[in-house]
Amino acid sequence: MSDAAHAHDDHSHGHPTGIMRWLTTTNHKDIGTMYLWFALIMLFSAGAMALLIRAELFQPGLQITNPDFFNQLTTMHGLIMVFGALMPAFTGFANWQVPLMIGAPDMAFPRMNNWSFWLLPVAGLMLISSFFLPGGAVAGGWTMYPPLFIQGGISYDLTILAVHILGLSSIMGSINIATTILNMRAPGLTMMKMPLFVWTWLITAYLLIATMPVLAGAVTMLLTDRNFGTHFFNAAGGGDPVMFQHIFWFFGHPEVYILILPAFGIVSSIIPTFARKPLFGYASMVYATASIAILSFIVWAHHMFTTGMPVTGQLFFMFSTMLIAVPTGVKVFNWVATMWKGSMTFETPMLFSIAFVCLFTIGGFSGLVLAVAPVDIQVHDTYYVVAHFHYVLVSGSLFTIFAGIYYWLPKWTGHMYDEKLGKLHFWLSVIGMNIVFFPMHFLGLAGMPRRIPDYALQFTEFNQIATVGAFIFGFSQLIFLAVVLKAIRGGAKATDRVWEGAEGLEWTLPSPAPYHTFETAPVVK
Amino acid sequence: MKKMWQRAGMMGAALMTSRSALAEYAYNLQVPASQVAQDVFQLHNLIMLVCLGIFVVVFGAMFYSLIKHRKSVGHQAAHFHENTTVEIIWTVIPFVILVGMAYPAAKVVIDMKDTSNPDLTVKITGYQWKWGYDYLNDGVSFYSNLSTPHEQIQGTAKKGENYLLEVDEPMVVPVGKRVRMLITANDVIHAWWVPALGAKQDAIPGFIRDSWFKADKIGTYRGQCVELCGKDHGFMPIVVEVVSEEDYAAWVAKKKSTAAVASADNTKTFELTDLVARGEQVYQANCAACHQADGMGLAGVFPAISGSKVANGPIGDHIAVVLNGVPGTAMTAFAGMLSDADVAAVVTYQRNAWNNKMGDLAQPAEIAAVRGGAAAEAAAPAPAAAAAAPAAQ
Amino acid sequence: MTEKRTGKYRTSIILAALAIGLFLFTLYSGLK
Repeated sequence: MSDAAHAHDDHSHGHPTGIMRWLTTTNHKDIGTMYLWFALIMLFSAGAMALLIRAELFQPGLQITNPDFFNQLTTMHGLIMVFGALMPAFTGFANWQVPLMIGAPDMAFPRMNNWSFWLLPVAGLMLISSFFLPGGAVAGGWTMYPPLFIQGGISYDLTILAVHILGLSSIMGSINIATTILNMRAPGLTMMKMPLFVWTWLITAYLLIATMPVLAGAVTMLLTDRNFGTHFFNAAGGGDPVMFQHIFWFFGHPEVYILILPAFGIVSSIIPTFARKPLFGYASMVYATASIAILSFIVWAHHMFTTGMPVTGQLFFMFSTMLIAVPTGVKVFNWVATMWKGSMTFETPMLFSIAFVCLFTIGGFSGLVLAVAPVDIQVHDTYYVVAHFHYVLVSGSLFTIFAGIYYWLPKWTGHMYDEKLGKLHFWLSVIGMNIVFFPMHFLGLAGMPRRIPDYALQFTEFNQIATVGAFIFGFSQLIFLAVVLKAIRGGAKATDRVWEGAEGLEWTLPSPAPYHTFETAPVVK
Repeated sequence: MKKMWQRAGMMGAALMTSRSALAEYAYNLQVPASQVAQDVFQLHNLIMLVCLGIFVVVFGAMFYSLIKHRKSVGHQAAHFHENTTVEIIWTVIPFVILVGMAYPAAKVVIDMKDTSNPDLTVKITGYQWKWGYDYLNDGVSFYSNLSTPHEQIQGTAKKGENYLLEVDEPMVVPVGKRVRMLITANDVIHAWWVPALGAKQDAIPGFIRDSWFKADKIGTYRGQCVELCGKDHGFMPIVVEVVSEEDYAAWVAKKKSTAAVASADNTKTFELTDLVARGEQVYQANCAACHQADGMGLAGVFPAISGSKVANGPIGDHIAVVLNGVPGTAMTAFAGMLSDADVAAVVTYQRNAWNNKMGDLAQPAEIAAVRGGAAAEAAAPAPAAAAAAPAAQ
Repeated sequence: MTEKRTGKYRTSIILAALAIGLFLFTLYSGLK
């Protein structure tokens, strides 16, 4: 899509074309594009797995899968969505937007940037091909708890390797992003003048650097327990399976904030634009984001309320988890205050952002319910948890990814996307998503456990509703693909500013943005 | 109009009380059958009310704004973008609300963790894929397997009312008595849960964690394993039958006498046909989950027994595999789970079923002899070993 | 190409050291 823009360049580099261009590029726009395409492909793969899962769960009884394959589907759906779709998508946004928003010519380490991306298809291929290995893919849950994880076959070792590769990619990418933000801002762009999207990615990068190595340590111990006779997690050898859970969730809890902070950043860019009003409470938003990140390190055992912690542990983690609701609430209030007394229009990016504010809050409320340990004891490992995290990850993270694509696609391609199709995608997604996941709250309260391929008769009605919603939601994503392809190929010409209320350095550039931008730093007042 | 509001109010009230009027579409936690479950039910109601209140206020404001503050109705954008006072207010008020919720919640946490002064103690062990119950006071022990027939799961027979929530041997307890549970596992992490009783606890191999419940009313309460434990995680339910004290005493007596009969079997000598018949039942209950009803296993995952080297080789080695398992694989040691008579029967069955036609058999006494020699080497975790594990935290 | 005096190498080495240190500390804590 930048080939037309390339013609604007007066450099005569002899850039490679075709496949070599994409394999060797060190350009943040190219790399951002690759991350986003990779994420979309992974989204459809893991989405197909979800449809298989929902098809099996349409009725009680086993119809299309056997229990072991079903567990493979749920495990891989989770791993691929988290590590293959959501995280690369947000990294793609960081690559495209961070240099543009801070007036830098590219990322701090362009070649490392290329490596960070190309590790992903390798890991993705490992994960998908594991279905075809003897014994099938990993079936122990994306959380990989031992001793169950020690029992599996060769694909478990391959998956551990894939997780290591994904982690390496994230760590390198985060070092790159953090260094770019800290060291390469245009003169005059102080930290407290950075767009909130840049702040949220800076904090996310810190979270990634602090937690991905811990995950790497945890899965390394799984690997040695499986193959080299260690017994980190084997009681018979003096180890403790629950230790894995502590280490995993020390990574795992900040991970979910890694999955949502960039989303907060995207929404904080979009709402002011379409409300034609500055973001309310910029400083509070920065402090709230930082507070959420710091608090995220001291709540991990709320995933472990049923492991048999002492009372003081239960109480501490309950209180600290409830506390996170405060800065999160502050952010929601600030977004509403940004809309308040604005002059709003409702193009597709704004529609997704508004839906995010409302539906992510619902996810936040179920999170608050889960924070209260005695209630969690009743709903832990039930569909209530599944409802909670899909509300925060689908109507949270995924909807902001859609919002961001609709918002910045005109800047990237030079063409306005088809607004009618965009709105159709929005309404089908919002309605579909709620039909799938809202009933799951009831299923969990009623007693339906997670990760089961077959269920007792009283759970039938809500499962059927959820499955219908899943097919509506799933197939609606093809509309999104159509919108993206159409916008790349053509459409109404986009102006520099694209959106009437848009503010920020990226909107000072032509649309499409030239291949090389800000080679001389802009001056920021 | 009025009738509609009346009905809505009644539905709301029904949802909030513990008697849901909408049995098919259950919207809330199950009807509580213990004080703890009742406390949790009410705590959840409280949190839901608070969330509903906040939701209405915040999104009422937002939807109002979406309608009134639109460009298309001519609203001009204001320019304010910060207000420290308001930020402080909407930080402090939520904090206060949270403290208000934290106090009742903490009381329930402390109550749930207090396992002192039990009337009865039961050790519960999770296995792949069944539960084992040991009544430490009354000396009763048994396994509890899913009893829903395979045909119902495969869809060739109509599903029964308690599909997937029925077992061959329920856990029976007397009403109104504090039952302390010592929970552990034999292989991987499982979790024991009965929603109506409000008790859930992870079953961790090599460790014992305790929990407790006191059932208020006589009845049958059903739950499931709630920690992914492998392929039949969804097929190892829990049934607790709460009965009067007299009925409980009668049940204990009956269990003790059946146990006596069963252990008497271990000294008997059986005919081949009897062993095969009994062995088939043992196989269905314990082996078919992995090795399948036709003995063919699952390619790449669980080996076939029909035509296998073990089942067609020396009977002593076959017995050893059943007793000791195969370390490093999912094949558990069944020494602690099956009696001598059952091991003899299942080994005999396997050697004479499907494509296996060995024609030989094993007697309980043989199994006992193999146990005696192998006891020193058996390293697989058996229930006896778990009992010596670190005390509950 | 002149190297810009942005301090980016110093920043990135500190962050990388943090990452490696945390990895090793996790393994060490597992051994205890």
